[in-house]
This record gives sequence, structure tokens and C-alpha cells, in this order.
Amino acid sequence: MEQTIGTQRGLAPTPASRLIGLAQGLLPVVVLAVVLGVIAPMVLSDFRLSLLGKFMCFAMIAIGLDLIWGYTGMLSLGHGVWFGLGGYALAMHMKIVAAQELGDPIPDFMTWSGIHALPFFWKPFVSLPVSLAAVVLVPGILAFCFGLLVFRSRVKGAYFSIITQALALSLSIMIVGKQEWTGGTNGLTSYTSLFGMNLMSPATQHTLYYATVIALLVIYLAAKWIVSSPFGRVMIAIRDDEDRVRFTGYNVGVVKAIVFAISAMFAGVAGALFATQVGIISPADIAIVPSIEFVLLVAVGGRGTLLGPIIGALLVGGARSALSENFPASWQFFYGALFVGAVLLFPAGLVGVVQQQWKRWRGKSSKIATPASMAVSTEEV
Amino acid sequence: MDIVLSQLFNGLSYGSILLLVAVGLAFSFGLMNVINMAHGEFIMVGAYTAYVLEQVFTGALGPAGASIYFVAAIPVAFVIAGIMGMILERTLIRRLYGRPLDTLLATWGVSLLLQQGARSLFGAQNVQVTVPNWLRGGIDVSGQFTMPYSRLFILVLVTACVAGVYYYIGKTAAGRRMRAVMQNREVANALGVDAPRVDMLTFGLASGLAGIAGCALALLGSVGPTLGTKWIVDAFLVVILGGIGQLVGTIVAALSIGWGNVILEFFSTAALGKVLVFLIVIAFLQFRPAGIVSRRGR
Amino acid sequence: MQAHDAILDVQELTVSFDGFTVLNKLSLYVMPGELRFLIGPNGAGKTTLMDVVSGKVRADAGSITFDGSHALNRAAEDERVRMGIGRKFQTPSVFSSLTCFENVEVAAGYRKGLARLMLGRATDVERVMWALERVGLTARAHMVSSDLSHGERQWLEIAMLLVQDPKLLLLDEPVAGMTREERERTGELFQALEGSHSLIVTEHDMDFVRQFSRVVTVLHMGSVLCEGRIEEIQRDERVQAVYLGHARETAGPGA
Repeated sequence: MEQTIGTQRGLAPTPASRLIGLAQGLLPVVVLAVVLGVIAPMVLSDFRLSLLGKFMCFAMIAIGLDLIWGYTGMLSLGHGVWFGLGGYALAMHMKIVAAQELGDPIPDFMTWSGIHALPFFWKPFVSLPVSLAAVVLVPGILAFCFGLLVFRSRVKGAYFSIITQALALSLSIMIVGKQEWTGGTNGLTSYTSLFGMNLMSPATQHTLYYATVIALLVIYLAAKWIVSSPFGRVMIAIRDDEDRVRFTGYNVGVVKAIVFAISAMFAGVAGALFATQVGIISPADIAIVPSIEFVLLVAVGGRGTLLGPIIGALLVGGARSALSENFPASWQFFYGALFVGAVLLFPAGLVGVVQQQWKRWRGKSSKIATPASMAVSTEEV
Repeated sequence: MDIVLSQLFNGLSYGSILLLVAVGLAFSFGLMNVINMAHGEFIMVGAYTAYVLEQVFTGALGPAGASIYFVAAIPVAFVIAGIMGMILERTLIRRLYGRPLDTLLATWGVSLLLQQGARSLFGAQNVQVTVPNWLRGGIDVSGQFTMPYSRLFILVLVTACVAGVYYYIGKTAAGRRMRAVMQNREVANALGVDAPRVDMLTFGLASGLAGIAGCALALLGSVGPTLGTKWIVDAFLVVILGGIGQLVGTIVAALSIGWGNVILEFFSTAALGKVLVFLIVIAFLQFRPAGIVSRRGR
Repeated sequence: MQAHDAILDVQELTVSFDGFTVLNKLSLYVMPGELRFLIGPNGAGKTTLMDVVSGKVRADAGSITFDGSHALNRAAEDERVRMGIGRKFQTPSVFSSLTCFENVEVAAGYRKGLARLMLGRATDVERVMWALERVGLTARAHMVSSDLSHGERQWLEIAMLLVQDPKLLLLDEPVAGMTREERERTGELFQALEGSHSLIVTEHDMDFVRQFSRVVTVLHMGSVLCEGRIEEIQRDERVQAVYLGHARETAGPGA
């Protein structure tokens, strides 16, 4: 019987092996940095570049989802909530700024709805530092509390997924319902500047693009750090046998809530960058449908790989754009088929399949468990 | 007082439809552990069946057809949705047993396909089904409170279906086989029960019930490709709240959520009402994570 | 029976499932440093007793006191582990995606703060390897645990217990599926732990019980039937009556 000598997998961390692990971890980052940060801006038009920026935001959410689903076994079907909270936080600030530039005390849609003063919960967003903090803290803290509540009552598996769906539905309904406060179905749009930069100008858009690339890489590295640490092993253990982890002395609810909060913070950042680049954030971006599509990105790319979500987001995003542009009437057929195909044909995802083939090619036992394949095979309700 | 009665009745009506949608889900999700995101689309199929049948009947029999088509629509919707469900189980769900989250994703894809199919066949616009004349109007209890015949009919329909399911599960040999496979698959198999066939039939039953629900919904409003998506989340919540394995729990949960929605909506807005119901469900699950009615087992 | 310096004091414990009484006013106590064996026919309540002590099942009546002062009524499972109660389950539960090393590493980290775990400084490699060595799994340290044999997985779970150094070890059928040599080693391991730790072992393998036990408690229908050294137990008429009509206890496969 062979041994798995994984320099990435929990070998006694000698400094040398940690360095090797680090180098292996950094390679994808360097490649991504070059492709996204150097090649893409040279090759793509401004329009396509901002599309790529949008896909990168989805990739950030997907990384967070991989943390909670691929590594810890919790499938959230409502991650649009955290995405939306982050996006709305920054958008609210930008709306205020846009209004101020026109000399109005309050955003335009409020005036149209008959409101004359800034509602109390809008007031903090006048300040940019507060808004930026809110982008991360609001989803993070809310997700942590929500997680604690839900995990304390041992809700997990499919039940948990359904509840997150209901959460997404509730938030989008609330936003739509309170049109005078939130812009309703139209969402928040027509903002003009951030940090004093004009959002319309190509220079600003480019800056935002690079900011997105950096944010994506930072988030990837943070996630990689977490899963490579002993904490990451606890996450995987929870995925394998949550009860057993409890009987090993861990407060599983707290661990899950922490991971959930981290993934929510990633989504919040993604939401803020999305709002600035796409120019609008609305309930449609955060409801159930997009939330489930985020999961698809992870499934296609490969769960439990961290790189997979990025690949999945870029590929599926690109495919969806291409399909809807070329087959405006029937692209949903292909999209639905993609869901089914991804699950049936390559459950380990693209990166997972590549990993398996790589290990096979290198002559190791074919029973090597990659995180991706184990993520798939140790599912339970 | 009228308003109270009216709200009570509306809650009952809403809850009854929710129950019909959720009973099928209670089978596939609750018992078989299959998360079928396409369940809503079986509702849609049932609704469109009513629409198509109306066209067929009025085409063949003229205006008289508009009265009788609905009687035929219910069993036809059951059968068509049931068959589609069985096909889905055979081709897709069967390969994904033991992977509930994968099933969720795959059936979500199927739901997209079905919605797109409806769009291609019937157009993206909503269509209307003509309410048969014997179901129009209602009982005027008082000035502000009318009980529409269509809703009363649905109440009767739901009661009949639930009673039928109860009888089927509890009293027939087929129902016993179903319970056997649910409780202990290997032993049932060893005793000669064809477990895969039972799975298929169970799933078909669940989908058929959704089809009937769609038929009922066609009476109440317009029919479109996204009809099912409005009900699916609530239906899942009913199953979670109601607890697994007990029909009583599902009934209580459906009515509670139905009434909860209507009452809370009355006091605030539709949006807030829905959110409050959701929060109450979460709060409830804190104390009774297994749902309203639950079994304690080893 | 009350013993105030017992490590585990169970009083009148009662548990029912759906009307069926599994533990019936069960009372027993275990002294610190004891190696106690728990035997009885299937359904006697051995696993359920362990379930209640480790917190998996809530008792309907009765009390359990751990280490003199800790009443175990409402404590959560993880709290009990931190109090010093370790459990090895009947079917080996280890984390199948992780290697042996990582499995034990997770067990070893239970007292460390989550922040330290995340920052990656927490792993006491020596201690983890020590635990693996104790159970003879050093060669398999970096093998994924799903590739282990059944007996090796049992040992891995024991290593996970060892590394936590619990005061009381609850071991549910620890040698099931092991070869004779493996059983010997496991029994010797238990004897080595005796004295500094307290152990409660449920077993069906009578040879194993005969070889390694001191005091044996016999459970029947949810209460204690009798207690004593294995020779006395086997001569006891009540025990014979209970076991007569049940299949003879045999040594497990591979012996």
C-alpha cells in the first residue's frame, strides 16, 4: 500500500515543505495575476473587460461558497443575500454622493417616492469609511449571527439549504417592498462617482478592474491559507462527519458560523465591486436564481479546490454571455443542460477532474482522494 | 368580524393549496431525501394541462366544452405530471441517490429546461384558463365576505387528495411496500419488494399531486412558465416545519404557514408578512429542530 | 450505591425510545483508574449507556455525575469532551477525507483556540506522532484514512482518543474486526492505560474479556444484572439463564 505524500496535505509542517506548499499555492496566483491583470486588459475591449470584472466578482463569491460547501459541507443557496448587502452598502453611499453632487440632500428615487429626508439607516452611509467597513462587516456579522442561530439547532444538509433560500427570498422581497427606502425592483443605480473619481470615465473603470483583480487574488490567498491550516482540517472533518467532530470536543456550531461569516464577507466585497463596475445593484441580482447560479460556478469548476470556483466563474460567465448573445430565445436550454451535465458527468468539476488525471499520470494510486472527489463522495443530508 | 372570517378563509384556502403542493414534496424530500427543485415545474405542467385540455374540449365540443373540461383536467394532470416525474426519477434522480445536494442542482437544471420548454410551447406570456361556469360565483356569507366556489372546490379537492394519500399509504399493499422501502431498503429488497420500482412510483405520485395542485392554481389565476417558482420555497418550508414522516405534521405546517402569511400580510404588507413567517419558522426550529411532529429514534 | 470519589457515578438512569425502555433505572459506578468491562446480550443497553454518558442521548430520568462534581445532565457533547470524557464508537468513525496524521491532529487541537488553529501554529507534531506510534500507525501516518483496514481504523480512532488524554475513555466494541494479534495489542494498550486513566469497554468477544478484564458488569434489559470478576460472572446462574438461548458468544473473525 502506498502512502499519499502530499506536500499540500497535512504533512508535518517542516519549513521546507511549507515553502514548497507555498510555492505550489502561489503558482496559480501568479498565473491568474498575469492572465487577468496583464493579458486581459491588453486583449479585451472595455466592454468585455468590465464583463470580466463582473465574472471575477462572481468568482469571489464562488470561493466563499467553496469554503462552506466544498470544504465544510454546507450548501448555501442564498448567498446572494451577502452579496447584496455588500453591494447595497456601497451603492447607498454612492447614491448619496451622486445626489450631493447635484445639490440634493437625498437620492433621486426617494424624492420621487415622496420622502424628504434621509431615512435613519441611510445616514451612516454618508461617510465613505463607514460604508466601506459596512461592505464587509454587515454581511459578516449578520451571517455569523444567522449561522449561530441555525447551526445551534443542528439544522444542516438540505434543511439548511432550503432555509438559506428562504433568506434570499425574504431579503429580495423586503427590498422590493420598501421601494421608497431601497429603490425597489429598480435597485440602486445612476451613481456617478467614488473616491472622487468619475465612475463613467474609462480610467476609473480600469482602476476598478485592477482593484477587482487584486481583491480576487487576496481572497483566494486568504481562503488558501485557511484551508491549509489546522482549522481547514477541522472544516473538512465537519464535512466528513459533523457529529464526530462534536464528540472530538469542538463547538461545531461556532466553527460553521465562522466559516459562514468569512464566506459572507467575501461575497460582500464582491457585491461592492460588482455595484461599481456594473453600475447597478438590484433585487434581481441577489434573489434565489442568481444565488443558485453561484453554486453552479463551484460545481462546474470543482468543489474543494478553491481554484475551481475561479475557473468555473470565468468559464460559466463567459459561456452564459456567449449563449445569451447568440441564442437570445433559447439559451436557457443550454444553461439548464449545463446544470444537469455538470452534476452527472463531471461531479468533481473541471479542476477536480484535472487533479485526478494529474495524480494518475504521476503514477500514484488511483484511489488518491483529492479534496474535490472527497467533497463529492462524502455528501450527506 | 367579516374581515376576520374573510382572512381566516383566505388563509385556509392558501394553506390548502400549499398543502397539496407540499404533500408531494413531503414524499420526495421528506421520505426519499430527494430535493426536487423541479417540483414547481410539475405544478406548472398541471396548470398548462388544464389550459390545453380546455382548448381541446372547446375545440371539439364548442362552448359546452368549457364546462366539462375541468373534470377531465384533474386526472389528466395527475397522470401527465406523474409520468413526467417517473421519467425524471428513472433517468436522472436514480443516478444521484445519496447525493441530495447534487440532486438539487441537477433538478434545478431540469426546472430551467422545463420552464424554457413551456416558454417555447406556450409563449412567455401568461395564459388564462376559463373557470367553468359551475365554479363561478360563490357563497355570500355577508357583505364583505364571500366564499368563492372555486376556492371551496379546491378545499374539497385537497381534502380528497390528502385522504386518498392517507388511505393509499396506510391501507393498501402498494402503500405498505412504499413504507417498507422508506424505512429499511435492504430488508424490503430482501423480502422481494422491487425497491427501484417503488421509488419510481413514489416519485410519480409526488409529481402527480403537484400536477393536481397546478390544475387548482389555474382556476385562481393566470398560468405562466414561472408559476411553480412562487410556491416551491414555501412548500419546502412546510416540509421542514412539518417534520418528516407524518402527514399530520405536514397538514399542520401548511395551514400554519398559510394562515401566518395571510394574517401577517394583513397587518403589514405582503413583503413583511412573508419575512415574518420565515423568521417564525426559524425561531420555531430553534426549539423543535425536527419539526412540528417528530419521531424519536435510536 | 453511592461512591463520592467515583470517576463516573450513574444513578437510576432511565431512557426510553418511543415507549420502549432501553435503560431501566440503571445504577453503577466506576472508580478512577479502573478498567471496567461491560457485557450483555444485544439490546441490553450498553451502547445506549455510553450514548447517554457522552451526550448523544438525553436521559429521561436519573443522574450521572462525572469526576465527583460534574453533573452531566445538560452539558453538550463537546463540553463533555473538554471535561475529559472520550468516546470511541461502535463503527469506527474517523474522518475519511483526512490522513491518519490529520485525523489525530484534529483531535489534538480541540482545546486550542480557533484563532490559533487558523493561524497554523497549533499542531504539536510530536504529540500527534506519539499517539500514532502508540497504536502502531506510524507507517500509515500520511495515508488517507479511507484506505485503512477496519482494524486500523479502530486504532486510528483510539489514537484520536489517546492524543486528547481523557480522564474517562468509553470504548464501544473496540476490537471488533481485529485479528488475534491486533486484539492482543489493543488489550495490552488498555492495560497500560489503566491506573492513569479510567476505561469502560463494551465487548462481545469473551476471550478478550477473559484475558484482559478485572471487574465485569453484566447488563440485561437496561439494568445491571451482576458485577464481579469474570470467573464469578460465568458461574452466576442469572447470567447463565440470560445467555442461554442467545447465540454463544464467539470470538470475532480472524481470531
